[in-house]
Amino acid sequence: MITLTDVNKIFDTATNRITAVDNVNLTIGNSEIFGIIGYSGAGKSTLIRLLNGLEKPTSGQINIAGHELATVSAKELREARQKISMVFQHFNLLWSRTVRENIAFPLEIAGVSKEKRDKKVAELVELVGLAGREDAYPAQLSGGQKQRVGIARALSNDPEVLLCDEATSALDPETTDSILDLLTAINDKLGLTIVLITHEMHVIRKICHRVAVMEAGKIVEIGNVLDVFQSPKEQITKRFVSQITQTAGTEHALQHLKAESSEGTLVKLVFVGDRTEQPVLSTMIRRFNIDVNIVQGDISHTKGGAYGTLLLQLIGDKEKVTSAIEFLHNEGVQTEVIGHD
Amino acid sequence: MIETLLPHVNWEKMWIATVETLYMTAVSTLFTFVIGIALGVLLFLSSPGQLWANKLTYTITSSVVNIFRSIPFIILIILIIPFTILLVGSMRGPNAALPALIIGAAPFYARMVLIGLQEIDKGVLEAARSMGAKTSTIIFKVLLPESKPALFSGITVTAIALVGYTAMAGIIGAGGLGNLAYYQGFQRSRYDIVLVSTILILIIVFILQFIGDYVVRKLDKR
Repeated sequence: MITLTDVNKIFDTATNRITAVDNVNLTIGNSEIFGIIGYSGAGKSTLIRLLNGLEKPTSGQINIAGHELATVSAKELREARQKISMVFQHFNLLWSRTVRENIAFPLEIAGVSKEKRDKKVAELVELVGLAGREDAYPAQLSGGQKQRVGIARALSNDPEVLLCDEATSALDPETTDSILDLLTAINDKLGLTIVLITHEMHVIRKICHRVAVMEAGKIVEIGNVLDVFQSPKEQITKRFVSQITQTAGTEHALQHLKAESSEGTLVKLVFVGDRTEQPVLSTMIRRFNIDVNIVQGDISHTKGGAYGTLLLQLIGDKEKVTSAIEFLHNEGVQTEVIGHD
Repeated sequence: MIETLLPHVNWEKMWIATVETLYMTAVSTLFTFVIGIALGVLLFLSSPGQLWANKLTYTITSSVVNIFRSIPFIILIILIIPFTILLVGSMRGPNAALPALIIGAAPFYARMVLIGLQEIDKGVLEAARSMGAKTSTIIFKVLLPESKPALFSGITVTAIALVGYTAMAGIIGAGGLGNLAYYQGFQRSRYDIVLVSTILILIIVFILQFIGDYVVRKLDKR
C-alpha cells in the first residue's frame, strides 16, 4: 500500500541545513495500523506530511496506493489526496461550518452531489458517534467531539489511507482511549490502512500492529509492536517502552528491595503472548513447594498479544529455587535473577 | 418652534443632501468591499510561504496599496480629477466623488482584509490542501468564510470612514451633507445648518456601526 524508497527531506534555511528525513525505507501493508513514534524534532511530522504530498521529498520515491507522490502532477496529486486523508492534532475544522458541513467539505471538493453528500454525512455521523450534534458548530464541541468530526471528515471520500498526525496528543487520557477505540473500529470495519505518528507509547501499544521508532530523521528500529515491547534494542526505544512498563521506576525500586529483602531470590519474569494466560506460577509453587512473594507486576495489552513483567521473591530451599527458575525457563518465560540473599 | 431655533434649515435640501451622502457611501462601500477583498486576497496569497508566493506580485500590490493608503484623501480627490472626468464626464455631483472614494478606501480595506486572512489558522488551510482542494476552492470555501467576521467588521470601519470622506468630497462639489454644511452653513455663517448636518451624519454613522456590530455577532461562530 505504501512504499518509501531512500526518501530524504532536507530543509535549507538562511543559516543552516536540516535533514528532517534521512534515507528512510519503509513498507506499510494493506489494512495495517502502523505507528511512528519519536520525540519532537525527530522528523516524524515531516515524514507524515511527505505521505500526502504536503511536502515533496528532496530525493527518493514515495508510492501510495499506486501514486508516485514525488513526481505526480498537481492535478493528480489533488486526486490522490482524496484517497489519502489526514487527521490533525489540532483538528483543523472550519469554525464557520457546522459539524455536518465540515464533514461534507471533502465531498464538496470532490464534486459529489448534494444528495449523495447528505447520505454519506448521515452515515459518518453515526459511525463516529456524533448523532444529534450535526448542526453544532465546532466551538460548541469538546476536544474529543472535534476529533470525531475530524475523523468523519477524513473518512468522507472513502480513503484508502488514513494519516493521523498526533491525533490524540491534544486530548485527555480518557478521550484519547475513546478516539483510539474509534480508529481501531474503523480499521476493522473499513479495512483501511492507518499510519499514525505520536510521541506516546500508550497509543502504539493500544492500537498499532507495527511500529517504527524515529530519531534524528532516521528509522532506528522497526518491528511488530509486541516484539519491540519485549526486546527493545535501541536506547531510545527502551525509553519509550519504559513510558508504559516503568522499568525506570523499577530500577530504583530494585535497589531498595535488594537492600531490604534479606532472604530469598529476586527474579524478574517476562511473559509474552500465550504465557500470560497460563497458570505457570501456581504450577511452580505446587511442584517445588516454595514461597512466592509478588513484589511488582504489570501486564500491557498490545494489538499482537499481552506482554507482562513480574518481579518475584522466591523463598525456600536453594536447590528448589534453582530448579523452579529452570522450570519457568523451560515453560518459555524469560527469567532474570536480580539478587540473592 | 423648530423654525425659530433653526431659522435657515431647508428640510427639503437637507433631505436631498442626506440621500446624496447615503448614495455615495453605499455605492463606494460596495465597490470598496469587492475591490478590497480582491486586493487583500491577492496580497495574502502572494505573500511569502503562501499558495501563490511571488515576490514581484506581492511587492507591487503592497506598494500600490501603501501609496494610495498614505495620500491624504483631500489631496487624492484633486490628484485624480483628470481620471474622474474621463470616467464620469464631470467633476461635480455625487457620481464624480465615487472614483476618489473607492480609490481612497479600497487599499485601506485591503489591509484589513489581509489582517483578517492572516488570522485564519494555518492548519485549516493545510487541511483543505490535504483534501485536494484547488486554490479557487480554498479562496471561496475557506479563506473568505473563515474570515467573515473580520471582513465585515473591517467594512463597517471603512464605511464609516467613507461617510467622512463624502463630506470632504462635498467641499469640492460632490454634494451631500458635507457640501451643504460647508457652503450653505459655514460660508454663510448659518451654523444651524452645520449643526443639523452634523447630527444627520452622526446618525448615519451610529446606524452603520449598529448594523456592522449586529452582522459580525451573527456571523461569528467561534
